Amino acid sequence: MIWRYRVILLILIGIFCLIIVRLFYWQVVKASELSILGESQYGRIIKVLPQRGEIKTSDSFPIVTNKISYLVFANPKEIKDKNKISLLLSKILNTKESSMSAQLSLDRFWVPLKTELTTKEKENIEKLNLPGIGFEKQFTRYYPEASMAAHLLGFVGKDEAGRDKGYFGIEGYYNRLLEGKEEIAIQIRDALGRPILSRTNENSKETRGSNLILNINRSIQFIAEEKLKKGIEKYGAFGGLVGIMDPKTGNILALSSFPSFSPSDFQDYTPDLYKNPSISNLYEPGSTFKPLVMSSALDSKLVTPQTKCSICSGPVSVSGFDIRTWNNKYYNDNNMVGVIQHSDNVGMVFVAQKLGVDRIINYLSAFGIGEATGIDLQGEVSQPLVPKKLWYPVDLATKGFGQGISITPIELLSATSAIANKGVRMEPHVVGAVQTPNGKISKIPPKILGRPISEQTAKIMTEILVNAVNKGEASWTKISGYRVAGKTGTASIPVKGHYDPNQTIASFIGFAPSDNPKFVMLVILDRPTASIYGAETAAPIFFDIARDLLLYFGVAPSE
Amino acid sequence: MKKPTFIIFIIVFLIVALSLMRVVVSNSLSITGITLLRLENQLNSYRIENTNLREKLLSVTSLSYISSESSQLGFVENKNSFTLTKPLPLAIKQ
Repeated sequence: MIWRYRVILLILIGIFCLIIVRLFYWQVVKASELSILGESQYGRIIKVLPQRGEIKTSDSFPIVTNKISYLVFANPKEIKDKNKISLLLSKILNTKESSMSAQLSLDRFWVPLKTELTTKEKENIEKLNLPGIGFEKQFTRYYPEASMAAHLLGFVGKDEAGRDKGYFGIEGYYNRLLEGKEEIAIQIRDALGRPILSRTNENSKETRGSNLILNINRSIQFIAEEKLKKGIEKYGAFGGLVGIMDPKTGNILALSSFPSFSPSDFQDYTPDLYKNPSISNLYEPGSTFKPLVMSSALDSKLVTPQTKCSICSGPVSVSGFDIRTWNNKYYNDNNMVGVIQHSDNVGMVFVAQKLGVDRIINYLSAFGIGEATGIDLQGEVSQPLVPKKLWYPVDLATKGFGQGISITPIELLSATSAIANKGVRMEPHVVGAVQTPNGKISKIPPKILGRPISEQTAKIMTEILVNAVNKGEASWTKISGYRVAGKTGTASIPVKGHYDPNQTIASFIGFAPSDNPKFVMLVILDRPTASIYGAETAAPIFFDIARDLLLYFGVAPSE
Repeated sequence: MKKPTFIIFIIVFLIVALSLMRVVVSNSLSITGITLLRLENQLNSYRIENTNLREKLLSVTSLSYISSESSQLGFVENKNSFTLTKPLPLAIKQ
């Protein structure tokens, strides 16, 4: 009898083991597959589109945000009277009736008709109760300050897969942070298809992109843009730019350039306007480059402010090329203060020759010339310095006064900020902090790039530049009561192997107040027609903006 | 043997009461979806309204708008600044 019990027991244990194995197969091995199958029976998968992060100025004003717009689509199979509906829709959507009719004649279930419809336009169409017409909510970029800082911000277009993607400027550089994540949500429904519970909300924080808080000061950006716009018109220039930076932190306070574009209608502009000239255009800096060469010579103790220029009594010949001053005026026994004050090209040849090729290359590299500054904007370019073996005597001479060398405006702004910041060069930075969708703010700390010159040299160079403002060609437009350090620049434009004397790039670079600078500013005008000189065009714009900035910062006159 | 009338009554009452309760709960559950849909639609419409109002608010607080409005109202840029500075010392100590 006992063996029968044992057989039955073994059979039962065997069956039990089989059940456990089968359960393991369904519960563990096939778990995910079955889970998806189950979900598809009681739920509907919804694609949750990410909401792109906002871009805010330093006062937390969203200079770029999102607005709700609609995509109107049609199901042509549900539309019976296609002629009537295409006529109605073409009138409301302001499109051609023929193209609308063609869209509605397609043998598809879903045809997009128009994007970026406003809520009002959507409501107008809804009132008509048209069969087979539906709407899809979308988020599109909205710019409350219109085209302000367009080059700096960039724009949002579509990638190959039709998804939103940032191009140029901040939108391009920080695209991965801004874009957010596309998420799948499952809407659980009852037997009649009515929603019971939604697993993820449409505004789920996980889908949103991070917000960026810029160092850009909205008021300063506005002042700079308005003054630059007026200046370009007044001096008949082809374009221009203004860059303003805090020399102590490297924070970019404003960056503006014209001609510009509207980021919301970027497709209406030619692609060459998308590039930010402040970081993507190379130009010959001319006399605004002289402070860098002079401070290099002062720092290496080859000259002092009192050093007399022994070759400044007339034009100087280098390798068969005659080098003259800009106004053909020569000052005998001119010292280094006078060389900068009169913007003396011959004097700078004297300084460059004293420095020699090795030292000038080392110093310019320390100032960041010939390399990208690392600014957090998409599209920065740089032209490396010519190798030492290709520096001929005439190159050394001309580079001394900023000719024969190509740099970007941001390179010059960053290099000059070292003179304003006791010899320390900071990395220019546009974004000051990143705010995650959970509200956590991560600040981006200032970054030191190097110390090209000593504090003592920076102080001496500052005094030389203050003297240049007070007694130089631009003294007529200076701000009384304030100590401003600055230098004019008038660079001829190289055309087909020679310099065109009638087409110049007029510029002015400076900082104020010179003892404790609040800002370094570079103003460039492209081919001004009212006057070709920086002292008569770019300098007045510089001082016009500087006057407002000093008031804005609450700096009292010191003289 | 005496019939347990009281117990039978209690059991029948419980069955009837629980059945009724189930009907009520099922009924309320079956309309949750509709209420949820209505609430979600309401929430969405408020969100859309909020976004549209925020868009208007940002538009009227933009510097470009304020600037154009102020110039229309006759405000002009102040060219002269007035500052209070410390008086200069009578003699500077060497």
